[in-house]
Amino acid sequence: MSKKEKKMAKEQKIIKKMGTPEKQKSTEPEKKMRRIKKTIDEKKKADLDKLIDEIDDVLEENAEEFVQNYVQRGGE
Amino acid sequence: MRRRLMGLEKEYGLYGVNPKKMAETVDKILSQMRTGLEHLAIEAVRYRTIYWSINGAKLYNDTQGDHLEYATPECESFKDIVACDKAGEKILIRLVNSYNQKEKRKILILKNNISYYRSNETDGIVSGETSWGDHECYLLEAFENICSESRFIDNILPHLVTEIIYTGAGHIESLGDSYCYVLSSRAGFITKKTGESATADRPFIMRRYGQDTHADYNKWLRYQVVSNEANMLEVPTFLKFLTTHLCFRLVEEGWQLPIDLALDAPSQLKKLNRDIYLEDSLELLNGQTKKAIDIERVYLEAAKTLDLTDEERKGLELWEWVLDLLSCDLKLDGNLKKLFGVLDRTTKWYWLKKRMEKRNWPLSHPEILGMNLKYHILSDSPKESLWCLLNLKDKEEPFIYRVVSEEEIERALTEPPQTRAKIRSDFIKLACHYSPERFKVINSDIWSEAVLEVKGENKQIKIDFGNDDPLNPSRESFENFKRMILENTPGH
Repeated sequence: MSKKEKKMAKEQKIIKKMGTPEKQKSTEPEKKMRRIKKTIDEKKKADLDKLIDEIDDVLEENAEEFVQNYVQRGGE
Repeated sequence: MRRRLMGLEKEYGLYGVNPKKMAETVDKILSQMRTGLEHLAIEAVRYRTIYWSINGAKLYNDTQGDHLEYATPECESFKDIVACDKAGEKILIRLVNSYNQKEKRKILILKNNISYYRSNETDGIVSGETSWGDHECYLLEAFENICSESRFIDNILPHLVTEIIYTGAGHIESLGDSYCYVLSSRAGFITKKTGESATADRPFIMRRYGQDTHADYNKWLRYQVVSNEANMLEVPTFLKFLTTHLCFRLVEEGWQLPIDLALDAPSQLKKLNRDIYLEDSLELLNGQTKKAIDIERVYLEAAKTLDLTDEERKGLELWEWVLDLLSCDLKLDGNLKKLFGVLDRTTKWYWLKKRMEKRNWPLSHPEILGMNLKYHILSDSPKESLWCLLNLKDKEEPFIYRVVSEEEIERALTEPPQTRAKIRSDFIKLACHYSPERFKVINSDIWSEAVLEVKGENKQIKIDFGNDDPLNPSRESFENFKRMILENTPGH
């Protein structure tokens, strides 16, 4: 590895360690937002399909009657 | 930075009430507030059929007497709007539960904007869809020195079309002999850009003039965005106010929509409404096409250049995050799942889709149509309400993205936002103690003032809640009145 290449590799290593300039500029709210997103993504790992099945077993099946009887006038 | 008063007016649907007796039933439900229901933690002052709650909100029978309506107090913060909207749900659940118990009824309350059937008894129409309102109110400083009103609105319209990709609550639309899932139940009813009424031929923006401005109409304008629908989840409610406020700010601060983004708003709203996976592009007036998300990003990027408050900046990040999620291929369950508990229209669709797959049911199956409505039921009973069930499950294993805490919602039941609503709330609290023995409210149908008559004195007193300067209201008239009442009260 040439001297120049060694220097570039060292710089890359430092950048990697410190993060990109954009990352360094992260403000506290941005960090918080990332934390929120991470938490939400992890929550998504909760088995939603299992949850839906469980809910499905609880709800009453009377929809036809329900739709027919939900009669409203227009408004504003 | 630009401060703005905002509020949400919502008409609710009632299940289990004959449409002919709706006005009478709504009056009876509301009249429970008359005496101050301590056991329900709700107190209010009544003026005719209007009830002003101690949190500064207004509950009433809407103009045609067909819907129970709750209007939040004036807010400056988007989180406050969400908290006040959720507090309204709690107030109405308590009122309806109490009424059901007393009258041995089984009325359910729905936070939605559409029913599939119109009554054939009342107007001769056998079936069809009918809609009612969810109005976002914005107070704007008069802007004639910036641009004309039509130009102002033209700058906003593409946003009002494209925001339904995250504000829509999802709906199964009837196409006569078949059904299709759409982004919003409301979009099909919007026929023009602006108007002064929303009972028929509904516009995107309803302009309120004169006394309806609820502020000095020489200096202020009140716009109501009526093209969106009610949301159950907090993110869409937060975002619809934040994004439209920022778009208003852009135009107020001199920004102009790139000319090539102009579109025919009503027709493109209807087109977008049926594109639930956001695959198509909208047609622009210049003959080009553009995706709804890309139009949203034009506003988003422009808004990044504004001098933002902390709340606006955090909200803008939420806006961008949601657009990023919506940019993924939503036909893939993995991507759709990421928006479960974030947006109503994706949460409802994932739920319906899974149910249809499991039972091998078509979209037109009665249980699926019913579930489309049951998502919107506000009830403590998990057997009746999909919304209730989702919330119970969320307590076990959280998946719903919240904007406000349960404590903030509880506080919003009795405490107003720190806006001019605070003066009204203080007045209502005083009136709950001293009216009607000491004074009578003789006019209180607008938001900016109340007119009273003090017992034994032949004079009228006006309490100003901030008509001239709604953002910096003076407490003087209220404080003078309070002093007068307390000084003449034995024991004070």
